[in-house]
Amino acid sequence: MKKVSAKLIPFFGLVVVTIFAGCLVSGTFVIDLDIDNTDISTESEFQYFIVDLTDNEDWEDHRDKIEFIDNIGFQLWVENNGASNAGVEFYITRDFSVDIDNAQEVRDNAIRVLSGLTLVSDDNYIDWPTSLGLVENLDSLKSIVLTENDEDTDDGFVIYALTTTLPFEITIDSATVIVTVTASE
Amino acid sequence: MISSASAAGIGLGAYGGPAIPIVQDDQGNGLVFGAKAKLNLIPGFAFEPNINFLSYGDAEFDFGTREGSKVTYFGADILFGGAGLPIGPKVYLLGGAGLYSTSRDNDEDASDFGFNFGLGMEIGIGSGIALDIRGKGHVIMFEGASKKFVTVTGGLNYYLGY
Repeated sequence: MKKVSAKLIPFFGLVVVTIFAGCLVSGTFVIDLDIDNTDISTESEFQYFIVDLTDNEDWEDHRDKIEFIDNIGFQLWVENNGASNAGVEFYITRDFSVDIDNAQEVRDNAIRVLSGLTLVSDDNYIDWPTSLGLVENLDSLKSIVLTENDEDTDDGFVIYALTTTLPFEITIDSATVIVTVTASE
Repeated sequence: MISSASAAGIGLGAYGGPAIPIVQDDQGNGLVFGAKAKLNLIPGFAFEPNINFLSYGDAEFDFGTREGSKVTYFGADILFGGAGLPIGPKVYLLGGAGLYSTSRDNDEDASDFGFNFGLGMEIGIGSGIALDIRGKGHVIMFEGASKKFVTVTGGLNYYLGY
């Protein structure tokens, strides 16, 4: 028995190496895209920024091999310029054909992907793990982000920030969109 | 002595050691602990049902830290060349399969089939007790892709009736 075992060890080792060689080209990757304040536009009732992941080197490295998106989160620095707490929601769309001029049109034409965020009257920082707990309609969000991966569509999608009540008195100083993907050859 | 060792048909074991994610950016190195029964089926082969509790470490990035997942997996391994209480060191191969349940705050819980393979060494140290050291590669099949990790564990096996 020992002789048979000894003969099998190199074979078994080869199997192990083969499987784990595959690991080197497949796995889970975390991709972050910084949005600074120069990329954030302000309207009277909302702010918005366009996310074009195709500008991102890490996304480009994996985009053709993405099997699925694990999750999507944010890191945010936001000022609440009002005197009281403000509830904030994020909406997403990749439809650039609709003119959106006010908060109601955002709600009518985009999908809410983050809610339950309350900003105190001051500077606010929302970290990545916290944002993951606030994301909703994750399947729709994943679908829109993956559509970004389709070469036949326009690059980019729009994220709108609204407050649950008017007036709109918040300022997004910067944001990072963080996408975790599983990709393989 | 040899007769007694051959009669050692059932063993119990406990073990622990590091767990290392393979190309999983969102997991840090962690620890795994487990327990198993060892049933010696026929000479040279053993069957090992086992239960394992793995906690990945945190994954740290410039933009934040993500808590690692917890994975509980039930499985059964076949050991080739590792049956019975060894007298001195004995190298064995193993392979098996199991159900891997993964959870983490803000991730959907998942239970998926997976398989593993590895190499180990068991060293009899007397009184029905053996030191057991092994390395295993794990592949969890997940939505058409896979999640992989390696465990390196050390522990003790106690053979009943020895």
